[in-house]
Amino acid sequence: MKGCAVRADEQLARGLQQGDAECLGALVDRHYAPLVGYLYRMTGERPLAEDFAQECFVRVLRAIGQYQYPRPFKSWLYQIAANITRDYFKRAAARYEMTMPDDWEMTDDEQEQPEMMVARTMSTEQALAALRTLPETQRAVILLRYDREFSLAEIAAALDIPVGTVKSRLSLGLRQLRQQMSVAEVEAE
Amino acid sequence: MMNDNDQVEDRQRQLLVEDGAQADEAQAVVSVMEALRTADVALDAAARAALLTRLLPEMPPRRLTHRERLVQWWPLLLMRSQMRVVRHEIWSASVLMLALGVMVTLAVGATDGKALLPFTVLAPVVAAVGVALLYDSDMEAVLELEAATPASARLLLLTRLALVFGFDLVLALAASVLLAVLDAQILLWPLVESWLAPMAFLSALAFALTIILGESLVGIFAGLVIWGLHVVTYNLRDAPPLLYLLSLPGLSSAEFRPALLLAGVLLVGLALWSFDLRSNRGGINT
Repeated sequence: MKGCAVRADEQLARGLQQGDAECLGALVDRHYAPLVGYLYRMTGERPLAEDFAQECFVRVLRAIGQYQYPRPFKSWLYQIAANITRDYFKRAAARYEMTMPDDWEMTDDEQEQPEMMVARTMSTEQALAALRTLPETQRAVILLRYDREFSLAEIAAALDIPVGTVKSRLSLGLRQLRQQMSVAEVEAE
Repeated sequence: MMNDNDQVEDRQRQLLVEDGAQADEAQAVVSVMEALRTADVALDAAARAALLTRLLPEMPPRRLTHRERLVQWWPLLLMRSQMRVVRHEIWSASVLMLALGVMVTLAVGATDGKALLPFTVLAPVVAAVGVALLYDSDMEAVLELEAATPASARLLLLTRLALVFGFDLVLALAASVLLAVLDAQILLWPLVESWLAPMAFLSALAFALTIILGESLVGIFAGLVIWGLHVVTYNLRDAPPLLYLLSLPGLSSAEFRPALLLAGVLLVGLALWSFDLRSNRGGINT
């Protein structure tokens, strides 16, 4: 179908319902990389983030029959992502893997990829570490709000919580992040 | 000029102001987000292709549009397949003969309203001849081959009948509209009524005779003779009784139109029954 690139997400989702593969391509182009970015910030693991992003799209396709136009597609996609990360964080083993070991080193694979090297610079690590100090619920609202630039209503829809809860989590998250950064600065000095 | 990073940072600060964040909180968020942006990786073509390969099997089956559904509707598919099998001369001959009928009718013009118009004379014969030509000498061989297809030979025969008769019917209707438009003295509905019942009856008769006797010439001949006699005796006051009887006097009478249509249906039924009977005896496998 022509003009997929200029169609709204919701129209593309309707195209998906009708089995239009080009609509899938357009949605992947539009949302896959930002979704991987969000999941990477949430989990701290790029391969895991990529797996989760792929899983999000698989779940979208499996549930596309239940999609009701004009429900915002982006919120729906991130709601699925939030469900996936929530399940992930519920698992004790996953929590353990989230903490980066002190003697962490790049693997051979990572050394071969320049973008992975950039991703592992100290400041990125510090940023990820700072985010990790936040509970998962606060981390999600902070990232959706300031990294993905979602509106409060979109965050509420994606995380299936009231707007008031979004605001309180944002407030708590901001405070905690600031405290964490202050501690880090003091330690650095 | 602002670069992309500056623009993103500006939007973040704006959101932070909206959310009532303090300056140090805002700075903390901006620093974290900026550091993380350097870790973002765009989706390259190979990764995109691999991702789509993984996702495509999960796609719901393509839903057909109304047009596609219509195109794939089995009666239409059957008609399209049979259109290729029917002799091409039937289409062109029908068009030519009916065009001739229109021209002659326009040239002669409507008479006293009682005599048959040239078009009314021609239309039933054209349809009857076309229908009779459906079944020729090599038809049985063709139907033998088609016995291997999911559609029965009877259904194929009926489809061809519907195609040829339908084509002539539509053509005659279009020609009648043209005549009514071009000649103010010709009224559309009376004109249609004048040829419709005879066309249906003569076509059914030609079809039945052809199928039952297995020879299209018989159907053509019977149609031509009966209709020819009818047209000749139509205006004769003192036609010989036998001739009058053979001409089927009610063929163009308004009172007999329902009976003619019913007789047409019965004749088609009889032809199909006869076709089945022959098939069951081993002539044709339906």
